[in-house]
Amino acid sequence: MNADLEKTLDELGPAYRDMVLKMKAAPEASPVGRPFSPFGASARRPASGRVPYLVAAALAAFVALAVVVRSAFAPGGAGASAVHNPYTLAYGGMSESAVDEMLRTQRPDGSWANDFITRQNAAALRGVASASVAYRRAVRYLRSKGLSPLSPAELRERGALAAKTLASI
Amino acid sequence: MSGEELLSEARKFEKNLLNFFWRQGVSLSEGEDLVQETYLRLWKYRAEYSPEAKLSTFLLLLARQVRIDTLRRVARRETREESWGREQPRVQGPADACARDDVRWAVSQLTEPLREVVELGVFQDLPYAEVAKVLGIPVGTVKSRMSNALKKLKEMFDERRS
Repeated sequence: MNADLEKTLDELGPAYRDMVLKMKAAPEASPVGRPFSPFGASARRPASGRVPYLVAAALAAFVALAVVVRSAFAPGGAGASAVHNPYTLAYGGMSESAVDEMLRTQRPDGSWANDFITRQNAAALRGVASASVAYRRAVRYLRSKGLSPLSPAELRERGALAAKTLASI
Repeated sequence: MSGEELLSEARKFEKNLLNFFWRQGVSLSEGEDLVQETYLRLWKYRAEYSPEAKLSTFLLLLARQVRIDTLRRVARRETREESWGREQPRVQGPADACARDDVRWAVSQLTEPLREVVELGVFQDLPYAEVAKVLGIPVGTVKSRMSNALKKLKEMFDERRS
């Protein structure tokens, strides 16, 4: 407890101190284990749905190798295309690495970590030729839940972060 | 501090942020979206963060703004839908969301200015000077709001007990 609050509680009396201690000890919400990424890359999934560890590791190694090889041949030389921040991509505009990341993290049923991220990613993949299958899978998933991808207006509304931010990276 | 370092440092406050939203009656899944939105804002406004300031304070400042913007967006949508004559689904208020949880319920009964002070000063454990920075009010006001809020909470708890 910080000194300011201690002082207030001293003024109010011991009953208040007990009350505050109880309040602070009350149950709290815990994150469900998804580190916050727009693509939901590390979302916790039910154990039954997890890809066996070795297969996942091999897949990750393959994707990492593909990214390294591609960036080596990308204009600007080695690593040139690897510089991105995933937090800006779904909003600001699409780069190839963002598309790759989304394709990599899409679940077999077409969804990502939660429905909102799925709506957002589906909207971001709309019109990306290399991701048409992923887009259709995402839309099919969303329809099955009575949802649709975010509209361009919704994307704009949430993503004031658009080109301006990207340009500053 | 680079943007990436700032984000990775900020992730340590994930639980604090989630609880910041959750204790205001937001559901867990919506809270997670709001936390994500807070991180997006952090990225957007990273240039405005000065390393001398406490990162937790800066994050809570952004989180508060995210919450306010969300409430406004919801209010706008509801007004729009009302003007179209649609029947409104009943929106779950904090009191409904917290009915089974004494502390959450009691805090949700406070007025917004008192609730914010309790959230930041008690649950997030920020010193009053930091609470004042987040809320943009004088430290003296934080102190008096805290006293009032605690008195109200005590009344509520006592009433419920009796």
